[in-house]
Amino acid sequence: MKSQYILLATIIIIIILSFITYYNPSPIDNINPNLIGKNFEDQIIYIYQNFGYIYIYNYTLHFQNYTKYINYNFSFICISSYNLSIQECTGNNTNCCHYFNGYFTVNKSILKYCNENFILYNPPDWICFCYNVSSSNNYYINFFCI
Amino acid sequence: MVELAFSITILTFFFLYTYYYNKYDYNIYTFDPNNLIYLNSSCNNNLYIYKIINLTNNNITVCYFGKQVNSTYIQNYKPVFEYLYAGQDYFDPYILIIFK
Repeated sequence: MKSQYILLATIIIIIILSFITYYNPSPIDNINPNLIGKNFEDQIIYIYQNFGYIYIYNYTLHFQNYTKYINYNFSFICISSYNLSIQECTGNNTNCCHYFNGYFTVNKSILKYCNENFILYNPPDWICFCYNVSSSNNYYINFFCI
Repeated sequence: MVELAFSITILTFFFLYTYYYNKYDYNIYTFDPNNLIYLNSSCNNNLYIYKIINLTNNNITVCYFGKQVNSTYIQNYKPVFEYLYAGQDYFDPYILIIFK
């Protein structure tokens, strides 16, 4: 008799937990940071090609709010020969831009955010973003140029 | 004693199953953002359950297989993909969330 009670209790617990799990779907909490980075990268390129670089600043603001909302840390440093209206980098701040004319000299503060390969990219006109996405247990750093 | 051990085993397997099911039951990589850019707030696609949050005017539209519904209608569905699009024909940023 006792064994039947134990089995019955087990079944009831499983049924209750199944209902709880079924009716409480968990939000997305495991987007890989590189997918978030890819989202940023693809859309910045899309904006540049389809709408013009003047919209890039607005998108970066939305993207920062969005990543904060889904509990990811996102920051970037950009290097641009166009004025993107993003605040200029001074010292150690992030979410900012280094603006330049002609050629740009890569310094150490940028390499914290950019891969070493970044140095190879130095044509006269470009916009580059070095970015960092991190969640509680994972991070992703990359750069792209348009 | 044997029954107790049996029950504990079943419960352990159940917990492990639920934990991994919730964590890995969907594959976010299977969605290609380029194929989903055409989903818009007019609910003209009957293949997906999705939510569009327009960031310009903060309007939220929920589409359930081609029909516009209220947010509560899809509360038991799980988000399986999300993406912040810059816009379709002009700059109009929005968040797309696909549910399953």
